[in-house]
Amino acid sequence: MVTRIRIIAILFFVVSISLIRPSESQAQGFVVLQAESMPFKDSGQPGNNGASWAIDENGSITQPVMLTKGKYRLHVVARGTSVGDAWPEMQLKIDGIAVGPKVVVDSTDWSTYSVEEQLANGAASVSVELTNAYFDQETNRYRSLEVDRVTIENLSNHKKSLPWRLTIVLMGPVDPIQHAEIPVEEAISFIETRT
Amino acid sequence: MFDVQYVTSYSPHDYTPYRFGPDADGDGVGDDTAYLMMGWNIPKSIIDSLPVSSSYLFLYTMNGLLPLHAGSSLGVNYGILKGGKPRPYSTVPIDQPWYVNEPVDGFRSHAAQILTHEIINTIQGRLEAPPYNCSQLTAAWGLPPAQFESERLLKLSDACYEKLSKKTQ
Repeated sequence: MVTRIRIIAILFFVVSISLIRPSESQAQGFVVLQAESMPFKDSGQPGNNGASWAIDENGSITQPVMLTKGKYRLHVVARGTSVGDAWPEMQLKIDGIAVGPKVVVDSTDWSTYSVEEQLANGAASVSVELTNAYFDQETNRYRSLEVDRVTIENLSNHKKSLPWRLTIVLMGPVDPIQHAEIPVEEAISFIETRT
Repeated sequence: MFDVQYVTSYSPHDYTPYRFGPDADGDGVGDDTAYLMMGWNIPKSIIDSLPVSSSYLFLYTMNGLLPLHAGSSLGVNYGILKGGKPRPYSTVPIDQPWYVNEPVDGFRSHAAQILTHEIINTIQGRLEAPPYNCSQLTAAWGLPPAQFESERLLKLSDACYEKLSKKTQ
């Protein structure tokens, strides 16, 4: 009896963990985040018969993912509605920090917007944000940013390398550790992790 | 995939002077002088003794002279002739108050930030020339140093990596 209760308790704990982390995705090659399924949404409503999400007030849609350290290309498929003589402006963010410049989504047709970024190991929140929301009271229309999906492409899986032979010449009284090895090691590490 | 070699030299070298500032004495050039060490200031015997490399980085001292730059780089057009080809190189004065292992935006060491910038300059110096003809490793001015250098490296295209993988020197 005691054993059965313990098993039930363990099962309940496992189910609880899975419920509070419902949507983490492993970004190993391509990961596609469908906008309408992203778990955190500040504003908007389903669009395109439920196959997209239309953000119509300043806000964002967000999904946590698990990343391995490396270079990524992020693609957002989106379209916009021009209201008040302006198209919606879209900002992609990782953990609340802007990735790439704001993009004006100036088409009512679906278009793909891409940006490359070096990302760190671990959990990260991917967000698509509308930054210039507007409501036209005369026409009763929102300036809407409609997002179909975000694709995360891990470029580190590509066969890339920067073969480089570097000779460092210490001319005269140069401290081989403080002036050379310490800063050179960090500089080379910086370049190698990004190439 | 960096292969780094260190060479030490105690041979004397020259400096190249650059005039700047106001021209109070009217001789047509500025009255102040700053200096740097470039390849032509290094004895040929030192250059001849160096191994063949993709690029070179010379760390040197100013010995009290005013430095023109925190670091300087030249591409293959003015490179060091080694192994039958001109090689890009950088020169960095190390006896300056900014060349220290203290943090600067995104780097643990300010010296490392300077070296990163100059090494990427030499990478660009080699890749923008034939047979690679890659695009320039540029980024928007005003970005914090780590982001600036990261953006430059993102300009290495797949086509450029492909060409590089076929040539190592």
